[in-house]
Amino acid sequence: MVEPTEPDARADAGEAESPVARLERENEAMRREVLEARHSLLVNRDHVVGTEAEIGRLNRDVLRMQQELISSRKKIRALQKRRNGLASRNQDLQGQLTAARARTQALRAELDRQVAARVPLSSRVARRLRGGRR
Amino acid sequence: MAGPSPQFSIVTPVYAPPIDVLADTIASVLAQEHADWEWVLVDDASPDPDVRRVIADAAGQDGRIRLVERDTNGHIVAASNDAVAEARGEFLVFLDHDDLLTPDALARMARAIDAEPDADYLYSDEDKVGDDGELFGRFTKPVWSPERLRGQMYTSHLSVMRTALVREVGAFREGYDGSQDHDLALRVSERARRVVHVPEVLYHWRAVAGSAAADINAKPYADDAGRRAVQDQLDRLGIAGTVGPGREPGRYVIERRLDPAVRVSIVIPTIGQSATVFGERRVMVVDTVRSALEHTDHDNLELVVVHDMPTPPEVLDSLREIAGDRLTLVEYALPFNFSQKINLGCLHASGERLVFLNDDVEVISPRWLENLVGPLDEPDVGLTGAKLYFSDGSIQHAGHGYWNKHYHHPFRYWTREESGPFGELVVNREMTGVTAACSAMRRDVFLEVGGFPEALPSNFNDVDLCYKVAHLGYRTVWVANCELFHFESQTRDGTVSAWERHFVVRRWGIPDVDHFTPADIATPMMNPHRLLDARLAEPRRGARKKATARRPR
Repeated sequence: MVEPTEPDARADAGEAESPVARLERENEAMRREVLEARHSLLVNRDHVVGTEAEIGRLNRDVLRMQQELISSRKKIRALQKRRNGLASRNQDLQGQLTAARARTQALRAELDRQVAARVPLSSRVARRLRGGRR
Repeated sequence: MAGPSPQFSIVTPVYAPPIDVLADTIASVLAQEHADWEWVLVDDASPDPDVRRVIADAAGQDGRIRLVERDTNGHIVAASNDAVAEARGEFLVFLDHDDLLTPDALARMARAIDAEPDADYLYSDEDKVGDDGELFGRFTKPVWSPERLRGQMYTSHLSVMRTALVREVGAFREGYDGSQDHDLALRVSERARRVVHVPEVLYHWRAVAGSAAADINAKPYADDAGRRAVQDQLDRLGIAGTVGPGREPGRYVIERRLDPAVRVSIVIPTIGQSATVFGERRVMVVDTVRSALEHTDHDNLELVVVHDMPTPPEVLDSLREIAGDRLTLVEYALPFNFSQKINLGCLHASGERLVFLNDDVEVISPRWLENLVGPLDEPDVGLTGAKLYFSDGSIQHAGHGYWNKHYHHPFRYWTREESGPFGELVVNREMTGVTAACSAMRRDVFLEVGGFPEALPSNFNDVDLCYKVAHLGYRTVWVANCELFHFESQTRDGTVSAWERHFVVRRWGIPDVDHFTPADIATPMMNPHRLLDARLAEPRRGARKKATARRPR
């Protein structure tokens, strides 16, 4: 709210203000009040436009983030699937490894057994010398 | 019997091209990834029968190619119109007889049409191809810019237009040879529902001796035709102005006329300071007002000077003397706030056109006010700006460019004599923003956007204003023939605070790509001291080489 303009010196001195002077003073006060109101309106309008812009910008950011979220979720799902596949393959390989180890162990045992059962060299040499068939 | 209409009709008027060049053009069309096309070639009575034979051979091998033979040489307009008349496609694709399409040209245009089904006119970026096949001179174009199209035929190649619309406007016009494409683009764009820029090079323009691609002066008659084409558009649209020749052929200058009934208010904030300019002491605002009044013929004018309390009374007296009853003084008693001073000045102003003018400028171009304010007569133009120079004549402001996370002054430190890579500095054009040091708005737009942001008292207030103008759907036009000196360094503290930038970013986001001034066109801002250093270093290097050569072994 605008303060009314100061009455002129004659009013201070107790002289009666003329109607024209009073109207001019009131008119000036009103003009300033209108100007201030228009200024407030202008500043307010700037704020509204700016706020609208900020909302628009935030909405765009949200949309972009949502798209990134969707994309990231897809990536996560793909990675999870790949991880599960790898875990399953890992399990299969573990089974194969265990079986291979068991087989290796069995073969080693068999080898040891065969080595132990093998005829000593001296006996084989003696047999040859005697003309026996191999 | 003809089959279903193809999507694209490529139209090519042919007259006496070198056979090997024509063969290259044919090969570039046959290599299109997109298959839904026909090609109408109109031979304009080429003297060499091999031209028709080559085209006929191509037509024999591909049923989509058709040769139309003219009995007499009718020149490019007649031949092009014959091709348009023969076309059956939904869109016309304009290809010259010696140029090349990229393999994805039609495919890319088809995708753009799918994305924007109401597109009536599409254009792409282009480059040039030399005799040796080398590509050069890429022209990265702006998004649709109707004001720029008046200044130069920037859409050029590759242009694709809806066939029905081309026929509706009467296709090419006789009497505009050499600029018949510019004339057509102007007329089609007036009625197009949408004009779309495809930001990829889809066309290689052959630069051979004597062609316009190699030498802008190659077709002097085209310049006159272009000027008439632009003048015709102004007349059709009721835009008050006269088209004149630009600094180089193919560029046009529009001198605007202002309705004497339109009242213009020039708002100038000042504190009445003095500075030394061109070796003499000046009261800045007094010389600003004097030069502004000297360089305009528009009388329906008001000067609103918003002055801080410390402004010397004799400065105000000088202003009263110069401007007389056209002067309105508004006292400002608050701490410095450029935005608020301008806003208050505008609220005191009585004009329907508002001009914002710093108090540290000197107008140097005649009819600056008419040219600056004139474009605002178009309802969709919300803001115009001027071309500003430092005192040494180098460019201080030729519009704003917002890219790569910051706000730039493209072409800063270029000289007044330079035209820019593609005429950017000598033609009016749409821009993302302009400086508030000299700019103009219609009153209704100023109120609609809420004036200048008073939260930004010093920096970026014009950036925010420009964003607001664009946000509400208005064009911002930079006016090349409104020129002023701006003695900014005399009056401005260049300190920028982080919060000021954050204010703009919070509203509008981080600037990324400028659609009117691509970053690769505008030379990055160069430090003038480095420029000078580089120039001084050149002869020194030469001198060293000479000295080395003379050294005895």
